[in-house]
Amino acid sequence: MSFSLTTSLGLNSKYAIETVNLTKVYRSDSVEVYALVDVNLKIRYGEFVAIVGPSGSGKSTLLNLLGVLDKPTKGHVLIEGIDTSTMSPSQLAKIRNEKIGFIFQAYNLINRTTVLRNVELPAVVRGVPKKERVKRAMELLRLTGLDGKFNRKPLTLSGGEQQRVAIARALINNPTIILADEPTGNLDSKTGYEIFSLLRRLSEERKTTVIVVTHNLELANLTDRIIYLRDGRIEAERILRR
Amino acid sequence: MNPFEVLRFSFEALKDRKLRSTLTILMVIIGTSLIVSLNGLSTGFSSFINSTFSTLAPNTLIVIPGGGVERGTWTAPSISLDSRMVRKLTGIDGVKVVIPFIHRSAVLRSGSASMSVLVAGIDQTKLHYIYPTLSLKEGKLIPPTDFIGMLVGSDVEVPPGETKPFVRLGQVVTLEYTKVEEVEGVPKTVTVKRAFVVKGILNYIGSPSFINVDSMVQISLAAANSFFGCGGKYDGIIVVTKSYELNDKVEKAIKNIYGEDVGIISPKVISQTVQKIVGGWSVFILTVAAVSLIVAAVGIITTLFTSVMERTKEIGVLKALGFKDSQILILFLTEAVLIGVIGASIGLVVGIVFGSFGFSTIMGFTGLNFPITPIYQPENLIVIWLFTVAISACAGLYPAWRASKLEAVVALRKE
Ligand SMILES: Nc1ncnc2c1ncn2[C@@H]1O[C@H](COP(=O)(O)OP(=O)(O)O)[C@@H](O)[C@H]1O
Ligand SMILES: [Mg+2]
Repeated sequence: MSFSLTTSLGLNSKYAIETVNLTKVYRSDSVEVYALVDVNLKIRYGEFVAIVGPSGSGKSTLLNLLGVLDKPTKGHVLIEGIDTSTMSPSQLAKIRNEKIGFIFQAYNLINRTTVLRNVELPAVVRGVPKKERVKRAMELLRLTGLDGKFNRKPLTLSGGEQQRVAIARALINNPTIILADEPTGNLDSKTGYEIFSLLRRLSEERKTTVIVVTHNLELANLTDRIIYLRDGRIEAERILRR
Repeated sequence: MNPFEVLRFSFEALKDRKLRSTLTILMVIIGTSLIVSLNGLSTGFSSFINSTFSTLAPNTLIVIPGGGVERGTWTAPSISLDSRMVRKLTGIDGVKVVIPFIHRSAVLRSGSASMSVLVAGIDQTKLHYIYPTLSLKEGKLIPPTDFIGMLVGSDVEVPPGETKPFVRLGQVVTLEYTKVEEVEGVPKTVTVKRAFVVKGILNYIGSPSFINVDSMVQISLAAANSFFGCGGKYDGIIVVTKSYELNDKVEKAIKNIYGEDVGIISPKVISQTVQKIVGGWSVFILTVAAVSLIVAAVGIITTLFTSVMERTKEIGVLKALGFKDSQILILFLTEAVLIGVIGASIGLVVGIVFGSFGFSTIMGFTGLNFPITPIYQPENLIVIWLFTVAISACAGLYPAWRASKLEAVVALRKE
């Protein structure tokens, strides 16, 4: 294991994200669930990757570990070549805030406040001055096709629009990596396609690394690489583009 | 995260649960306003008691004949208060000066008008020992050898509620009183009159109830002795001690000599006793009020805890967006502090209004007319405000800590 650690360490890693023997075991009472077993992944900057697999195969677990939202039982997650396993909780929070953007199936917006405010939030935590972050948030909302809906409350928008707000929110701090867990799960196929096209554009034009979990193989075919997960292991990989 | 953004976020969260937040704030308002109004009233009452006794120097003891009032039934004095006793009292260690007095009621006539007054016969050169704040408005004090001079209090010069003086400096007035005399075994009422000249007028010193100098007239001890026919006996003797700390010692020494034959009144002790009662009462009342604040604190805990439960998923999202545990803690703590600040601020105003208005309504009810107005000392108000906010913050601590410790992944899975 040390081989890949030593070769990958350093700021100028080729990979936006890399895992080494990533393993996650959930223990409840006497039952042990091996949600993820020895997963080794290398994902390049700007790559658009789909993770597919049956329900319970460990897709969400993998995404949460990649997003340093959870701690692995064993193994390492390297972000831009830096090992995150020894980081403190507040260092991990900083990584999540600055390097990673999350997108969820249920949008998970804060419904009591405006669209603009939702998009701003990660920049507020980061301490970006108001003027700058409002400007960025408006740019991103235009990019995601929400011009003129800045002051709406999320629940007055359609599902597709809410997910676009979530995408804008994920982009506000210019992250290296976007992690999306079944972002189209709640959307009809046309809207789902539009969301995927948007993610595709992000990876092409902004060189953002996008990792998306999906059930929809048709949509998965829009990505650069498909990773098949089964019982917590990588079953197969298929490279579609380079 | 800058403090303004924290405030904004927390305020929005509170606003989102309007009814619950409002009710919680209401509890804080009730607690704070109770404390403020009761504290204001007891401060007002204390100050009233203080002002009642403050015209008398603290280092005075009043010696009166034993028996009579103190024991419930009247018993004749068994000892005379005379010049021998004055000499003996003067000799006691710790005594500065001894001032005998005669104190009777009489009718004061000025032209065709008259009023009933208390007449004090006393050595006026020593008055300043008893009433340190006493000052002359006009004229002079009456010397001990002056048999016709009279010193009048400010309420005698111009009675309360009137604009015209009742007496003027230099005016001749008459004092009269009636007594029952046995002439050859037959009881007969006799009216005794004597003319006096107003030679001095005092400034108002304000002693609402205890020894009201303002409504008294004072003549020399010798004049009172002969006018009232006292035969060298005094109604009381004021013993001024060298300092207030010596009061107890001197009081004991007097009791040692005369036992139950004399009664000793210590205005300072009376004042302190009343203050103690008032103090105990206000501690009790404030405790009750503080309990209502604790109830409010429990309300804050419940409200915030419910909010943490309902917002579990939101907390997970915030963590995914990069909020640190400490920032989540601060967000929820700020909600508690906001409840405290809003509640305490409104409670302060409500308490002041209720204390002033509510109390005067009660007074109107009973028809009493105490000159008691609540006193709201700014430093007390600040302490109460800070106390309320601190309690609210403490109440928020546990729910906020629980929120910050939620595991992001678990929180996100919750639906
Ligand atoms: N917090 C948890 N506690 C216990 N078991 C869990 C927990 N989270 C996930 N699992 C289990 O781990 C396995 C993988 O779950 P998950 O990563 O959510 O799968 P997927 O997203 O592919 O459907 C499942 O068997 C699931 O029941
Ligand atoms: Mg899943």
